[in-house]
Amino acid sequence: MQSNGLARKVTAALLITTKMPEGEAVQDLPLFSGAQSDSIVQADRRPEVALVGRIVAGDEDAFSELYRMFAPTINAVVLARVPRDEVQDIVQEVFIAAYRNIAGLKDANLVGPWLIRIARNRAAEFYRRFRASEELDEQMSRPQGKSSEAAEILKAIRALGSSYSETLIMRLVEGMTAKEIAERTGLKPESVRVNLHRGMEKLRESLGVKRKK
Amino acid sequence: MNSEYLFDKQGSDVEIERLEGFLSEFRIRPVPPSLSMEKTEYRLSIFSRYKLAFALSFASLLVAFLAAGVLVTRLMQPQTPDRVELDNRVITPEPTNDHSFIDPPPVDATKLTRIVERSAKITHSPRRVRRAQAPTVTETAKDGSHLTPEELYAYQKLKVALFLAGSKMKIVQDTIDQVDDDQKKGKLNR
Repeated sequence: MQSNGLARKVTAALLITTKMPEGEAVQDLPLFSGAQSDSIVQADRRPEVALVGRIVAGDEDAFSELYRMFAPTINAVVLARVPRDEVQDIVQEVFIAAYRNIAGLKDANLVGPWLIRIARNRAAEFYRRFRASEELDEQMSRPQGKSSEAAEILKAIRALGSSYSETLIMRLVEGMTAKEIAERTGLKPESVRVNLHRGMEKLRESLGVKRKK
Repeated sequence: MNSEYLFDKQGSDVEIERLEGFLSEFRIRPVPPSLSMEKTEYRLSIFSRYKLAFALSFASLLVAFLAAGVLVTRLMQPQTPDRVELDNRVITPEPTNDHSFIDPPPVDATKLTRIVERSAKITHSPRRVRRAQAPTVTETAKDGSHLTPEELYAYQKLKVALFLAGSKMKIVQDTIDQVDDDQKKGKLNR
């Protein structure tokens, strides 16, 4: 047990130091701030490692495969932050940026957290451009019927904060299990479960309050 | 709430299933981006990023090429010196008795094919007398076989150039000396 704890600490200390797009250096990966985010597991993700190697060698099919593997995760991360109409474009930008810079990825095991970091940066960049306008809220309120209900639920999920919203969107929108979420994001399965459980509780409270209103 | 369904989709939970139904429209349809365009754009972006560097490099190469071309052209053109007449090669049918300007040709030179030396024509003008005091440009073709005519010509040109430079320096030196003499005379007269 002590060796496992020591291994986790060493792993957490040896975080990604690859160069991010636009030359930004990554010092650590606080994936889900506020929630249980202190346990990044360096699992032996061999499929990703092999894919990264093939992509660096120029295999486009490997890139497509990587895209299919991580697109739901990246979609959830982006959807938690930007309007739905912009999500598809930003997800594409994320993977294109990843394709350009993947040769600089030092640890292929951590390609998932690396992609998530790119997605957050892109979303933040988009948000900075539209921060002054209220178009974000207007876009969310335009749909009618079922879409309006979905928009309200999504809005409530976003209001929970990125710590819970990303995990909930991965589960409720993309249909990923806790194990799959842990594998893609690099979190422990236990941490993911806690985030899901607490997130759902908060979401129910939020939706319940809105329905009473 | 059925936690097992929430975590691993085991069993069922009405509320969670309802939420999944509403939110499924936000699910991504995984269509990978086209990389052929991306590769073209990436190549273009590299070019656009370093466009200025490419332009400057090309311009500097062009200037260097032009300068080299001008230099080579100038070196290729023969340059004739002032006031000194030199012929690189003269074929004399027979030897002459005028030894004031031309050294006698080698004994074994034939009548028709002979390369004779040339010396600078020196007049008796003061300036040319001073020049005559300088090392003369007398080329003695002791054995012209070790130099080709072009090399001999280039050698003679070089010596002429050195002679001219030396003579001009001599003129400057004389001028300075004359000035000094005048100054000394001026001081003595006082």
